[in-house]
Formats: sequence, C-alpha cells, structure tokens
Amino acid sequence: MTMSETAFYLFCFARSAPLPELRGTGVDGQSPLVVWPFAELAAVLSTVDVADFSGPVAEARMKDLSWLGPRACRHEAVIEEVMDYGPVLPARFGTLFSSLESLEGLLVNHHRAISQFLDQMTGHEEWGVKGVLNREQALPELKSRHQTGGGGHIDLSSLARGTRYLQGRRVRAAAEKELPQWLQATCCRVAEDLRGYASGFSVRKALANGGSGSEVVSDWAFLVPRGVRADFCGRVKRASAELADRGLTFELTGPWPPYSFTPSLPA
Amino acid sequence: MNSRGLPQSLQTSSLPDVLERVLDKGIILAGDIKVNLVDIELLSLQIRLVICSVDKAREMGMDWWVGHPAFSSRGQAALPATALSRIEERLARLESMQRKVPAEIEEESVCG
Repeated sequence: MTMSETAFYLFCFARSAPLPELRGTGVDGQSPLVVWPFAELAAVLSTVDVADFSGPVAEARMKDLSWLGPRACRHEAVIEEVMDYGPVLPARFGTLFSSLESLEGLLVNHHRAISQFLDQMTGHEEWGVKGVLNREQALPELKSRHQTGGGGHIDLSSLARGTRYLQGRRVRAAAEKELPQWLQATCCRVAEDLRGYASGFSVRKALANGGSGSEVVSDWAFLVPRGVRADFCGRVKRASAELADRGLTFELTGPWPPYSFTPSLPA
Repeated sequence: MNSRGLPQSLQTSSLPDVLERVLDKGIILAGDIKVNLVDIELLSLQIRLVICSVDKAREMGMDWWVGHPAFSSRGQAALPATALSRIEERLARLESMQRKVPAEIEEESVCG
C-alpha cells in the first residue's frame, strides 16, 4: 500500500433510519462525515490520508499528545453525536478500511452481531467507575482499629519507649497486611451494589497511576439503563462519600458510548 | 439535538479518560489497514502530567475546548477549590516522580 492513499476512517455503526446529516467533522477537524448505509445499518465514516495513521512517521506522531489529543476528542464527539439519535457500536480510534468493499465485507460477516448489539444497547449508556485509594489515609484508619482491637484500646504513650516502638511497628504491619483484603472486600461489595442498577458490567484494566499517594485500584464499566442513570450516579457518589474517610473514593465518568461492551468482530 | 461540538463525557472526565476509552485495545473491530496505536499505559504518566498542567495544555494548543460556547461557563475558574488543590497535589507528586523517571522514558516525553 502506498502512503498517499486515502482510507475510510470508521467511527461507529448505528441504525440508518433515524440518522440525519451529521454536523461533526472527521478527526482532522475538516473532513466531512459520511453516513454509509448497509441494509438497516449505517457506518459513520470520514476519509483520511493513510499516511496520517500508518507507517513509522505516523506511529511516532501518535505519541505526540498535541496531535493525538484533539483527534481522540473529535473521535469521541462524533460517536456521541450519533448516540443522540440511537444506539451505537463504537469503533476504536484509528480503525481504517482501504475501501468500502472491505468495510462491506465486515458488515456482511457480522451483520447479525452488530444488529443484535444495537438492540441490546437501545436505551443504555456506559458509565465508568474508578476506585482510587489514598494509602496514607487508609492505613491510619486500619491502624487505629488494630490499636483498639482485641484486648481493648492500648495507650501507646503509657508504654516504655522500646515496647511502644515495637507495638507501633506491629500495628502498622497488621494494618498493611489487612489493607489488600479490606480493599478487595470493600470494592467487591460496592461493585455488587452498583451491578444491581446495571444490565452489564465489565472490569477494565486499571492503569497504574504512580507509586505513592493515590492509586487507581479498580476500573469498572457499567451498562446502565438511561432511566436509572440518576439512581446509579447517586449511588456511586454516596459510596464514595461513605468511604472517603477511609481513603477510598470512586470517580464517575460518562455517559460513554458502550466501548467496554462491544462484541468481537474479527476481520 | 444538542448544540455541542465536544464530547459530553468531557463534562465528567478528563482527556486521559477519553484516551483510555478510545484507544482501548479490548475493542476487536479491525479495519484492513494496520494501525499501531500508542500504548496508553506507557503514556499514562506523561498524559496525566500534561493534562494536570493547564498552562502546559494551553501551550500545546490542547485547550481547544476552553472558551467553546458549549463550555463557556466552565474552565479553570469554575473548578472548585478542593479539585484545584487535589490537582496541585497530584502535579507536585507527578513532577517529583518524573525527576526519577529513567532516561529512556524521558526520551519519549511528550512534554518536551
């Protein structure tokens, strides 16, 4: 393939019936959007230069946030515009087809799966919930429980210095040992509770977010019926507020296109 | 229809959140042209560093949504004080971490 070729950039699949002319642009901010119908489905596309996405120069530029950032946002904005009219099956950033025939091949192979997915997504939206732990806030809480646990409260100041030191070390070690278990049990309880509002649940890979201070300990996606959006969001905020003193908060993002629930559509 | 040209999800999330979603390698829907996407995990630290610094984002022209009619009431001044202090804390932490980052990662830095 030569590098000056034009390709079709796929944003998403949707139902063709309710789709009017879209106002957004391609990821370059200029190319017009094209709604390409196939049976009752529609592929939302724009044309791009292959050289912008494929090849060593493109790959190097992909790491440049001033190039990638606005394009990623436009990708998201186009899909969200389509979501205003009905369910979507979102494509990943940079999904390119060399020709409409090639795209048609995928639609022929997966027409049924795409159609079923759009049915399932009708009236639903994806919400992201990230668990964020502040270890330095979580540990003192657990330590105080260990100090007061078992044989009642131990007043460290009443102990001899050496004993006090050892007791302090023992309490911290017990707290550090307990933290992962407490975290897992707490996150499980919160996830279970939230799943009660959702018709789908997916565990995303939590990206490491630095060694000290706050760290992302869980990254979940929930498929939430639009009618219970307010209840779901309220529940996340309440869980976060309840656990904030213990160093665990939950960050809510959305509504997203259902990226985390897309079916596998291999070429 | 909403008159917006920007992701609605940006009202509750940040650019790193958008990148994590749109670059998700779990999405199995491949075109016939191979595109090697950047590894979001490798870039995560730099991304958060850049985004946490409003000035830096502005310098890089990444604040194109600021001042957009749909977001005219938003922006730096609209951030609650607690959010700002959290961001400042996080920035200070990331900056101190970046000083410790090995040379090979610094070479790939997008902040430079």
